Amino acid sequence: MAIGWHGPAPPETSGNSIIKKNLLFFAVLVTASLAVGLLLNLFRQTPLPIAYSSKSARVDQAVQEISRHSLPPASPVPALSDGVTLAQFSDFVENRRGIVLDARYRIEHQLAHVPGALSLPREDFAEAYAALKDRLDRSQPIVVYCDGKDCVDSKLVQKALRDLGYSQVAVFHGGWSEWSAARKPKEANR
Amino acid sequence: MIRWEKATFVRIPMGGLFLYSGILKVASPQPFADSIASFEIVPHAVIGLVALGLPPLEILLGALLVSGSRMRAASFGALLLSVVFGLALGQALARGLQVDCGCLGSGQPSPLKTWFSLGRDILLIAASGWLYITSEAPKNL
Repeated sequence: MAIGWHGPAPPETSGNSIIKKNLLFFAVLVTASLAVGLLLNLFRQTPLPIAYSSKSARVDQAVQEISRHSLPPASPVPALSDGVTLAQFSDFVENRRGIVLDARYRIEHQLAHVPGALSLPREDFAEAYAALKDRLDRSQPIVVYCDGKDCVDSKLVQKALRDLGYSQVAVFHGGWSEWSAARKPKEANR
Repeated sequence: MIRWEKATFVRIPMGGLFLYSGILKVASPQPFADSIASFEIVPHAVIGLVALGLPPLEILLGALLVSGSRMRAASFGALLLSVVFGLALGQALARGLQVDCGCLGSGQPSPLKTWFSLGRDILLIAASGWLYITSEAPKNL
């Protein structure tokens, strides 16, 4: 004998009711997702703050943090021009005229970068700078690059370095996209 | 066992896309928060909440779509989300904002990529709308 309810079939559900049920289900999913997201965030090495602070604010904060520990001496070296062209940058790299910094994400740098470039990602500026500062000479010219003309990371790193007392910091505005398009040599970290 | 109906060929790639997109963002919430900020529609005070909550939502919806369970509700959720994404991209293009879509990981902003993302989003709206209409309403509703 079949066990179950043999009453009349439930009435056909109206469109509005179905939408309400779906909206309710969606709201449950949103709430659960938010809870999971917040929980995961607790276990991150660097939890994401709920209130957003812009890229430039984060770099400024990193510079302040670094400056608190060691105030940079004022540099007597005159400032390098703000930007360099591909030809100038090629000459700078090929003849090792100074330090080349890659402001892109570390993973991008590891995959491929301009030969000799050091990784100083805008995202983890404070940590990356701490690891690199002994290799950065304030008397040497520095050129920073990121993805291309639309990215702001190189400009933010340039500003941060200037705030830290490095006066000869220029940006290669064409960035990695112009360098790659010109089929210039590349290097990868293995 | 999977029943290879027409809807299967839509829901599995779509669910896969949602899963992939969600996993990428869960892995790196800060670049995603930067992407959200570039749209200039979400108040800074809550961008973190959106950046943390949205990726798990995409993963949940993606998992439901791939598994084929609660199809009507899952496709409804995917439709809602795709419409919201579409509106965000549309307003950014209309205002001439340089946005980084952040849809499938973060990258550099470009209008061409934004148009491409909008096109992909319109396809998602069509696909989720079709899934919603064609999937059967649960008998117990």
